[in-house]
Amino acid sequence: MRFFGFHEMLNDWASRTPDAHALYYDADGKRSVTYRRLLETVEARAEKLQEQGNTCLGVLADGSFSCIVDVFAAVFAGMQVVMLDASLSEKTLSQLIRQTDVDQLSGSPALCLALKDSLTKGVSGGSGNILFFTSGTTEQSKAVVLTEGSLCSSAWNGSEMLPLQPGDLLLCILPLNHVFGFVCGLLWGLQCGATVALGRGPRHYFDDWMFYMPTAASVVPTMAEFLLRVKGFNPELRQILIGAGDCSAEVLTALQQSGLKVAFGYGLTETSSGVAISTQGDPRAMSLCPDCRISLAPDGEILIFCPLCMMQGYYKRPEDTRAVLCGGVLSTGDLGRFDEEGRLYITGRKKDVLVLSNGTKIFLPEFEEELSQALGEADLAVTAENDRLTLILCTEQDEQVIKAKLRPWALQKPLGQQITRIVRRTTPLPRTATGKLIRWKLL
Amino acid sequence: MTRKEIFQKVLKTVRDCIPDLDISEMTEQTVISETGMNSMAFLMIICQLEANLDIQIPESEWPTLLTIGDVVSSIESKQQAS
Repeated sequence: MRFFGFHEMLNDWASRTPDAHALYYDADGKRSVTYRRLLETVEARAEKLQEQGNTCLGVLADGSFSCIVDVFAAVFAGMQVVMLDASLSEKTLSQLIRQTDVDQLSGSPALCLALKDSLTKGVSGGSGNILFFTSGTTEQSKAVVLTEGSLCSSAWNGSEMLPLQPGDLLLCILPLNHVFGFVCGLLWGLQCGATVALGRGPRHYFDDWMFYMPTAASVVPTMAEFLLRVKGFNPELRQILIGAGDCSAEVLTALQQSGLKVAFGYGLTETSSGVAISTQGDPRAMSLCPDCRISLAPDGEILIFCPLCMMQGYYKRPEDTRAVLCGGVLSTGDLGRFDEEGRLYITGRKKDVLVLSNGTKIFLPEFEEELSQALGEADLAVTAENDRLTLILCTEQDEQVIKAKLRPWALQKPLGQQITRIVRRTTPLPRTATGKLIRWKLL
Repeated sequence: MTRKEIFQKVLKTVRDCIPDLDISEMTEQTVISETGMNSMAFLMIICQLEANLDIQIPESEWPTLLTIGDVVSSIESKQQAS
């Protein structure tokens, strides 16, 4: 069954299996709420939001039951919804609130109070918009305008590739302010009429598995690798979907060998999450989701056409939107290739490519890996200004020592690819939770 | 607990959580990001320390814990406060 909106999805399961558990959560003990009760709760909250008369709800997403109710209710009430990372600084949250016209907040009372002076007059015409922020590894985060329709379509795509059953229990352990967490941690389960167990927060990343005993989960690569290492997965777990970042073939294979059905997904915030998922065999060989058509530009850039899942655009950034979305086709900035069977492999990120004035392209992950091996330092990055390459690294090594270690490497590189400046720092380089370098913060 | 005892407790917890991590040369000055420990490992260690020492280190404080010494100081301050 395919849904095009949250109300349709919840109402359908509330009609078909009203007493089936929709959600498990922890509130002084494990609690559950049925599909019927979830729908009733959301509808009641929607009425209240409508009475309050605001237009744009900023959700400080903490993954709680009330957070999920508020997201659905705000959509039911015709509000614009903005998914905010509650762990950000108040200063950053204030900026995001103003940037996206939030006039009401939902979440921790203390944080809502601290941010209330940032609230705006709201927005007109925002009904149906659900905003998620991009991961911002190579540039400052943008608010991506999705809709309940695009998110439901993405969840349907996922369910077609990786079906769950009403008896399944999906662990929702990832942040809901990230589209992978929202679609693949929450909507995927509700789309299938399964039960979704709400994770209890970062402190419980290790024991939520034995607390809830899920049969399926979506995790990021660092989480998958670590939980595999410490044998943290529960024995009932049979299906794991990994996404939001690159995962080594070794980890994927080890997970398969542990008896799990492993799927690796590729998607973007701009496409409401997954567009390609591996479902069997090599976990890095991904089949396209039903609604998606993918082609490759001459340089290997992945181009995506999936009208039902595609973003409306970047919020109030029409030029940035036009730069990536043309004729419904999204230029992703990622590089890929197809095998003979039409399965997609991700080979890198175009935005991690420096193009020098002589046409030389420097693929930064490889370049930085070379430097990392030469120096014996893992936390480094390369930036360029006017063709001059700067090496930034978190180290205690003296600059002369670094230069001496770089010399054998430098001798193999053409003049245009020499490091001309070294910046040492004592604090780690800025990275996302999945380990991606946040390049724009280095500038 | 004395600061030295807290430091030893932290090392033991690191060893228990990540058995294949070499702790033999770790000092209070050791920078956590340089040990090869990733964010998940660090989180596990913090959670284990909280459980073992009956303290809570607020999530807002986690990004400030850059060295082993920072972790020791944080624990020390919580124990003094209780």
